[in-house]
Amino acid sequence: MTDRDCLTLIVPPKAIYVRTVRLAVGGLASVVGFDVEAIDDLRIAVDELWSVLLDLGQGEITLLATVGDQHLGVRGNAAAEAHPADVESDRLEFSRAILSVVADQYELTIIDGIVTCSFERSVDDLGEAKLEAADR
Amino acid sequence: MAENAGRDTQHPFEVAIDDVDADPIEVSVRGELDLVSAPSLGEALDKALAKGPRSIVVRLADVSFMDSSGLRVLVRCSNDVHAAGGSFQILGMSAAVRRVLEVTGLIEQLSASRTGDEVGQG
Repeated sequence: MTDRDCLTLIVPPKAIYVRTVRLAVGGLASVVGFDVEAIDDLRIAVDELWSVLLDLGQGEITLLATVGDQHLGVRGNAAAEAHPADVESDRLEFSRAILSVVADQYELTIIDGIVTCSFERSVDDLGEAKLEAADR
Repeated sequence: MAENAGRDTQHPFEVAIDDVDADPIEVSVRGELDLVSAPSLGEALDKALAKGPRSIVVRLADVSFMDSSGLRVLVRCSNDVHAAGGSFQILGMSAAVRRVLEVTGLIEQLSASRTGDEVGQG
């Protein structure tokens, strides 16, 4: 892999595709070298991303995954629905709470009619130690 | 009685109610509880709720994945049951369920910290 690989996925806005997206992100997380617990967290994170985009957006969803050296970022965009809920609304409370823990950082915005949800996570010290051991 | 089977053959989703007339009603869930399958759990819990105020026990030991969609269904059911004068309890949760309940701080509210051995005791 180069320093940073980018993968783009354009997906119809249907709940059923959350499993496809989850599988893809789980696979990328494995490539990066996350441990099992972190991969599970990232699978949860992408579900929350998908849920938010389905809730606030309309039309096809564009996912951009950035795979770097011990780092994974996922950004999803969709056109915002005509009168979207505020990103701080109570109905997104659980998604925000989960993303704040399972990702190193996350962002949820509606700007210029585009709803964006993104998160990033890096391999932590424990994971790095495992990778170094595997390399040896 | 299987309420629904998911299409994911690797992790088939299934909700089962042993006896809809029992008290407590025991609802067992298996597979991935996500945006796709959560409505099926909601329907099963609504069916249990329709029998009137009573205890509902939800077994989640065989849930291999859960996101906020599943969590919302559980919280809504818990609120509805308590509002109707009944009780709601999660028992036998998997690590995946525990993770989400811990992250959201709902583990005590949903009585999830109790063990499966406590079913029927008191």
